[in-house]
Amino acid sequence: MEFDHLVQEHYQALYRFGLSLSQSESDAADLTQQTFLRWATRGFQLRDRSKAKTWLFTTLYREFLSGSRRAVRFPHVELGDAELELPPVQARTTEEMDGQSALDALQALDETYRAPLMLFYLQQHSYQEIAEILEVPIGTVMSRLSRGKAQLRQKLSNTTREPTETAATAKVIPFEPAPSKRHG
Amino acid sequence: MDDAELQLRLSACRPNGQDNDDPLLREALERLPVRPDLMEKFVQDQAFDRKMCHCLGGVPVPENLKGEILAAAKVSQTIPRWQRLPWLAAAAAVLLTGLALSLYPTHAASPTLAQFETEIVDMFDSMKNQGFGLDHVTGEIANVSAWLGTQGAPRPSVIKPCTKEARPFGCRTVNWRGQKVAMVCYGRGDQEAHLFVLPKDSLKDCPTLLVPDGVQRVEGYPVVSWSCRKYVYVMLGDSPETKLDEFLVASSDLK
Repeated sequence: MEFDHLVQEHYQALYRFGLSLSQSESDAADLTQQTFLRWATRGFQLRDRSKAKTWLFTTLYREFLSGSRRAVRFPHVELGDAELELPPVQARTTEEMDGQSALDALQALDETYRAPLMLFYLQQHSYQEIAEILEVPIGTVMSRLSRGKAQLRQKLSNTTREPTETAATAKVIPFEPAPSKRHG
Repeated sequence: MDDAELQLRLSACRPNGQDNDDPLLREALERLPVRPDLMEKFVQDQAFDRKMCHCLGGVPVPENLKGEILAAAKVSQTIPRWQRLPWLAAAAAVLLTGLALSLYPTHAASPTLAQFETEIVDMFDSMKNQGFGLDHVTGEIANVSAWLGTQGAPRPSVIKPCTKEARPFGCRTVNWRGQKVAMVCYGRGDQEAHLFVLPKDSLKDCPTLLVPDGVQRVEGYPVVSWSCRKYVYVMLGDSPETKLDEFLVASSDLK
């Protein structure tokens, strides 16, 4: 069964991509499920079956953008404005990093960098495919990957430089701004 | 290729050699042996990338997700076979449209507001089922208006939401009877509403109200219409359950 095979092949990566975008496990599961539902009802229109993987990731990304999840629950806020509201960060080195802390660090980045970086780190897509999924030029993808990685390293190194301000159990969590910054 | 471009290309290299055959990246990689400074940085970057790949690849996925996806797909695959054949569906649509146009009275060239409301609700319902994207994603109303202007779509002078709690999150244009209609999407809490804007002269009649008042039901969706200056505005809830009233505060500055 082509559909079962596609699900088996891609649902985990799609979920992780959705999680990096939505910053919510339930939203990520919804996005993944919705994406495969679109395939079940519309995927037959895709003539070039080798593009199925890109189609799925593009669909999930569009699904995320078209929903209000990002705009209403996770609006764009400059991180500089948000830093004061972030909880204390536990000191970590790259060697100590695990899945959750890597995801936390990634989620602390602006979405502009988060989406291409997550696709890059999932390792399933070339920079050309990332450009196709995000619908941006190849040069933009390269630039976002480069700047995004620099920001990521900066954030991880910042956390190791300020151990005195940290609490033993704290960790980076997705930022949710104050209501006053969401609207109006 | 200068240093800046070289570093951009190197940053696009996946850490396990998947891109070694890519001509652009191979050209960059071939420069490294004569650039020990860049080589050292590249090795460090790749080690960091490998660690990130390993960590992110280990983020747990809900155990039951795969089963839920397969179960949901089985339900949705009960669609009639003819609907899965795009050329057949397209041919049928063309035939039906032609038939409808030939039977349509000439004076009906300008549709009524009621027709627009019904058709836009149908169109939206179909878009929702098929999954639709926004052409321009922004939370700034000024950007919405500016972008619509660049698309040759109606560019309403003021399209603020009626409540401070609602804000646009993007827009697009839709094609209705051969003309561009602006569609602006709003979010408020976990609800959404969509505003459709078209020129008054596209319709035979216009809403008499200058401000939105009195939500009605069209095909189950909550809908409210008003007109101002040269445009007609039709706002509809994202679903039959949407509380459209909450987007429409009487004391608003929606004009």
